[in-house]
Amino acid sequence: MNHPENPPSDALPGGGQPQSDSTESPLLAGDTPTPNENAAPDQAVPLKPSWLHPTSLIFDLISHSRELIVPAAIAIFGAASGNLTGLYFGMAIFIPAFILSAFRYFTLRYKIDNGELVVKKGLLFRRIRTVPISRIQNIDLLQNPLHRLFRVAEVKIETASGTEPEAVLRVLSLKKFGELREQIFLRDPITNPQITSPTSAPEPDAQIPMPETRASQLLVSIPTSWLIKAGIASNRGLVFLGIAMGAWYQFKLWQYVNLDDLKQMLPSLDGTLRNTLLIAALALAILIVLRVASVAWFISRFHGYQLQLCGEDLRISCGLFTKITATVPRNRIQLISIHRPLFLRWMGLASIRIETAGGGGMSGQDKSNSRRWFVPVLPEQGIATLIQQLRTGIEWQEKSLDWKPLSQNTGRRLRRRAIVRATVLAVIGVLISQPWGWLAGVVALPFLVLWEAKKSSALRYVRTEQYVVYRSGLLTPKTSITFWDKVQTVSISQTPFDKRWKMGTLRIDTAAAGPAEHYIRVHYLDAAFAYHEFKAISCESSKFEPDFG
Amino acid sequence: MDLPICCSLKCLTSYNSKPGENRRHDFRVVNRTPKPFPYSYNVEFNASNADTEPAQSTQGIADESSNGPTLAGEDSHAATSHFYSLDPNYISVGRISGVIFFLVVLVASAIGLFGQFKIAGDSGLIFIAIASAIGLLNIYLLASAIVWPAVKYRHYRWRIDDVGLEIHRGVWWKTQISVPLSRVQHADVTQGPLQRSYGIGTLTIHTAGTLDASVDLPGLHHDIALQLRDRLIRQGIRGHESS
Repeated sequence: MNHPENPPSDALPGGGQPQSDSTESPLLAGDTPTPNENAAPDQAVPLKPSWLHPTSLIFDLISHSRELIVPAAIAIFGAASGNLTGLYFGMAIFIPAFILSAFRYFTLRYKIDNGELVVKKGLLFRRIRTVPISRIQNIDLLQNPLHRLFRVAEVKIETASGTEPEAVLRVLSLKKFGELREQIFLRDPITNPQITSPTSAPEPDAQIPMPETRASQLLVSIPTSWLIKAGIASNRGLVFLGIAMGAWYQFKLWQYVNLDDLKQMLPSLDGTLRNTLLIAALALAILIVLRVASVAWFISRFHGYQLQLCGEDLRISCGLFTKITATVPRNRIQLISIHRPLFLRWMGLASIRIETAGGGGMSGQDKSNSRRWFVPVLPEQGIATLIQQLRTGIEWQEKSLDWKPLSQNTGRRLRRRAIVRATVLAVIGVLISQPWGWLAGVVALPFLVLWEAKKSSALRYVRTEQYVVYRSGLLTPKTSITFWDKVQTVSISQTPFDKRWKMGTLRIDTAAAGPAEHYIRVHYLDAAFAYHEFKAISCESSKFEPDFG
Repeated sequence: MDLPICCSLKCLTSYNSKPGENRRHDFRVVNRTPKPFPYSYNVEFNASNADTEPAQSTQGIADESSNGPTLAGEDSHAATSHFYSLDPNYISVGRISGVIFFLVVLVASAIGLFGQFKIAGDSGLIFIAIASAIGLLNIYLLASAIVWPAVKYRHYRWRIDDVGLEIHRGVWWKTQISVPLSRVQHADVTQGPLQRSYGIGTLTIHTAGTLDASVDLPGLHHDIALQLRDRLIRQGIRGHESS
């Protein structure tokens, strides 16, 4: 590949980089990279100032295409109806957009210098972002089919701070990505003593270069059968139902469907039965389509999922069309959450989510991939071994945990709440229909009582010498584990109702809570016990220093 | 450098859940009489762990007759259990801002009622009902502006020890929050114009957490707030360096 990935590097002493095509240089006049003299001699050779891959032009334009959809539509419709004003209007938007993309491409450069990743942007408003390599948490890689065609990838670099990636390099060739990753993972010679020298650059045609210098251990590899099961259990397909409904109404699809034809298929039955059968068949068909869509989503997203432990970093790679790799340093895991949705539970499966400091936002595919969908599906018996790998030196035996009891009053309190709710329902019922409306409340009462009882029995809490575990949820039990050095603040609270029942709520806040959708907030604890735990947890966690790298 | 280990760092590991003991069930400190700053609250921990923390409730600083407010326990770790109330000026500031809010609402509702009267005329019962409702709301606002800050003040207390900063607040909805020292990312002291004229400030502690990403402690004497901020930051940085 002969892409001019390296900018003119005359200023580099002994810069052996081939001179690139000089078409870009005018923009970069006065932007010569400074020679790297301060680098310690024992440091790895820093990455020379580099441009992004030339195909960045296309991908940058595509990534901004969301803003261009409206003008594009106007242009297309305008051209189709012979109205050239729309076309001109579209062009007037497109051409500046392209120029902007080109501008962004030609003015962005990155390098590794002095143990820092430096990304320079812009010409008039220069933005230089400096990220110390030791602070880099994750390097995520995203590769859709188009990326793969050009052998490039989108690279996101995250640190502990903020919810946005610290730097987005859109796009790098895989070779460059490999070099970058090498550089960044060489940062820690103490924790990774097996690294002695940087490996040679991977083959340019390698799919995703994985430096094999460190012993990597395969933790999880998900076969397609699990993904199918997970797809069947999940409701992901509802998205497609929404799209289908939208299309149905938008394009008036019922014009093309003739119910009479369908009715002809069942001619021998009378009207009511026929209609019932038709509706049932339709519902079944929708259900099947939804499940198939779910399965398709899971397979396209997680095909070939592999979780590896390389040194202290967890690496995820998966994807059928859009390939994603994500890297999560193990000590950055703030919270581990095991989710067991009902259907998944029936099949003996579970999913694991994690929260890591940095990038707590819920948006972005790569983000949800490394956190929300950390391990999308895993058999129950594999959980314990995996969790013990996610943090050094923890023991995880969920069965043998000595769950602490809730307040003795919990049952009574929840029963009373169920009665209050049923009464409210009965009153509303009476208001709606005079003579028999109160029946609604009476009918609902046992269900409400049962529901509350089940819910309180699903609520668990325990503190051990290593971690705090909180479990809640009736249909989807979620078990979350956090550790002393990851606890940020502890609080207890008491509402007037709590006070009446001598209860309290214990709350533990961790960094970047959210992706696991499970906040540690233990209700219905005995007030004195909650206070005791509050003191113990704040005391215990104050002994540890938080570790953000 | 390690944080000094003292009695307060003996974490409570066992919990005696036998019923019938004289345990408090509302996380409340016993002595509710508000005292000006350098005096401590006499704190009673719940009975079950009184044996693990024997020194805490007996320490007093009445003998430390320092001139001007200083942060007691800065150097002596014995003062771990002192709960401090806020600066009494917190009440005045709360009242003044409450009354200002009340006046704004009063003027707005007066204008509204006058407009209603001009347009619709004295249309009998409905107008009287609206007017009395608004009047009641205003009376409530005035009363709560006068009374509520003092009540809030009585339920606010904080302390700093080797574990960290602990804040108790809330009248009906009570909350106690503990920020371990090493979790303090940075801390600010802010002061509005009204607060400045009363010499108080708000300490805001930022952690790396999510829901408690910033914890406010309002109504501190400004000097105390600055000292507290410095101590939190110093301890926090010490902690970060030692790791």
